[in-house]
Amino acid sequence: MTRSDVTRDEIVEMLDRAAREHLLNLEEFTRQGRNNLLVDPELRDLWLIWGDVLNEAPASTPA
Amino acid sequence: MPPGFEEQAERFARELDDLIAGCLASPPEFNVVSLRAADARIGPGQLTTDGTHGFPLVDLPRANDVDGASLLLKVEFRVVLDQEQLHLTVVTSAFGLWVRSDASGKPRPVFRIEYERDARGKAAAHVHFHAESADMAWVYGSAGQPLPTMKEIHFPVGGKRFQPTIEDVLLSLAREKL
Repeated sequence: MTRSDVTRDEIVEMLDRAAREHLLNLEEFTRQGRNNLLVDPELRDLWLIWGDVLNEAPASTPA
Repeated sequence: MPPGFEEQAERFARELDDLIAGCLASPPEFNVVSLRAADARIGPGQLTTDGTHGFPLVDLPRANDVDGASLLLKVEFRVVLDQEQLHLTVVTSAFGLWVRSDASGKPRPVFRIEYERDARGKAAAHVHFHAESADMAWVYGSAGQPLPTMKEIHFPVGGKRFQPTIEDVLLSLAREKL
């Protein structure tokens, strides 16, 4: 067992890259994820495990 | 008072280590990846965000494999503390059997078991079968419904307390002698 930390920016970048490989931008990936419209299995799994980071404001954004 | 979040998450990862080590000759270590306080993802191997996406699939070697594993296991969890802020709870998980028919090919899913604790409009735990069925086409067509692909259908397999575990998936593979 190992333990590590990851930043929100790293995850957003990963999701953005994955979405682009499936011809989606991050906004469309987020929209389809929120509305349960993602069909590609890789994108569905990514949304399931990491999609919540796209539902929160970046840490640097004032509330 | 139960241990804190990090200790509980690490204990869960060690349990997964032990489980997979009992099944595979060369098991990956499970990794706890924290993104914020009391909120972590647990998966096999090292999370790589550059070039690949998420945790790697786990090789399930078979005696007749020629060039790398042809069967692969997906297993990932998102865990937080429960409402009382005491016990580890799974928010979402993704299990699945994937195949790679040739070494250079991209893995494809056979079936995937998703768990979404807060799911709406579908069972919290459900299976997606990556296959097609003429009989299912007839069921939808004779009901006047547009036919989804099988992978779009959420086949329910249990509620929040009875979702399939990764042990169930591994045991089913062994029982089917796959």
